[in-house]
Amino acid sequence: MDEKKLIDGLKKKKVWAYEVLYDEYAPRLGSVVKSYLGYDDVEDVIQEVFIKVFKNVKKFRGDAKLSTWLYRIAVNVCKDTLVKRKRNNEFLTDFRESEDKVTFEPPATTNVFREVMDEISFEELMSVVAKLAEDDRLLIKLRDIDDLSYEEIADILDKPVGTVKSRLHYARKRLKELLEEVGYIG
Amino acid sequence: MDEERFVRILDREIPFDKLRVDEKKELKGYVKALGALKEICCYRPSDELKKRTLSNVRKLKSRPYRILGTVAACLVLGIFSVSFFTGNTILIKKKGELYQLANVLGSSSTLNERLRVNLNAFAQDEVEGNDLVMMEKEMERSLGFLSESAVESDFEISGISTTY
Repeated sequence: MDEKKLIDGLKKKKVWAYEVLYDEYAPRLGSVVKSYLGYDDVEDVIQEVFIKVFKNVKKFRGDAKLSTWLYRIAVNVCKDTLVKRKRNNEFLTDFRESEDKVTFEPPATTNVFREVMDEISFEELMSVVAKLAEDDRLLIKLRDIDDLSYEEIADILDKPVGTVKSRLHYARKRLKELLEEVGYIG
Repeated sequence: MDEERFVRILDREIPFDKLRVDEKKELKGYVKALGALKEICCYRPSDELKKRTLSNVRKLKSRPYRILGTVAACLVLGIFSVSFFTGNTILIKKKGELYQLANVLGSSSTLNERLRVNLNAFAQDEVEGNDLVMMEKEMERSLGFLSESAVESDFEISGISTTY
C-alpha cells in the first residue's frame, strides 16, 4: 500500500490503517524488540508502540520514513522497558543470568572435537550472540541484518552518524572477538 | 583480518569476489553468527496480539466520545438532583436541650405532653441558666404535682395546651 495513503489513514484514526500497519510492520518491529529485549515483553512493547503511534501520529511530518519513525518509537519503548525491568526485577535478571550460564555449552577446545564437529553448534552460536550487549545486538541487527543505512540508524537511535559508526564498529569487533574466543573464526 | 577492511567488507564497499580466501572464511563465520542473530530475532506476531492491539486502538478512538458521554450524564444527573432537592426540602431547625429531652421521653403520653409544655415554658425563661440542674428540678416539681394531686402546690398548670 502507498505509504502516504497509509499515513493519512493513521492520522484520521482509521482502524483499517492500523490493521495494515500491523500486518506490514509488526513482524519487523517485533524482530527489533526481540533483538533488544530478548523473548520477554515483545507483545507488550508492540502494543505500546501502536498506542504511541495512535497518540502521536499527528506529530509525524513525514521527514523520515514511516519505518524509521516506528523503529524509533519501538527502541524508545524498549529502553523504557529495560529501565523498568532493571529497576523492578533485579532478582529476575539474576535468575535469567544464571539460567544462561546453565544452558551455555562450553566451546570446543580440542582439535579432535573440532575435526568431528567442524563447526560449533548452532545453540553455541546463539549463546555467543546472546552475550552481546543489547545496544550492540540492536546495531548489528539494524545494519547487518535489516540493511539500514547509517543515517536511518542515526535517526532511529537519535544519535549522530559518527557515533553510530563508531559504536557499530565496536559492536562488530566485540562479536568477532566472541566468535574468536570460541574458535569459530580467526 | 584488518579491522578497517573487515568493516568495509561488511559495509559492502569491497565486493565479495575480490576477497581473499582467508577473508572469505572469516566472513563466513561472521555471517553464520549473523544468521544465528537473525534466528534469535525472528518474530511472527500472533492473531491474538493483532486482535488485542486493534481493540486497544478502537478503545482509544472511542475514548473522547465515552468521556463526553460520561460528562453529559453527570451533568444531567447533577441538574436533576439540584432541581429535585430544591423543590422537596424540609427545613429542620435545631431546638434547645430541654425540647430534645422531652422528645426522648416520648410524645404520646399525656404526662409528657404536659411536661413538654412546662419544659418549653421553662426553657424560654431560663435559657442561660444551669440547664441540667434546673431541668431536673422542674421535672421533679411537675411529676410531684401530678402524682400528689391532694397536696396543694404553688405550681400553675393553667398554661397546658391540649392542642399542642
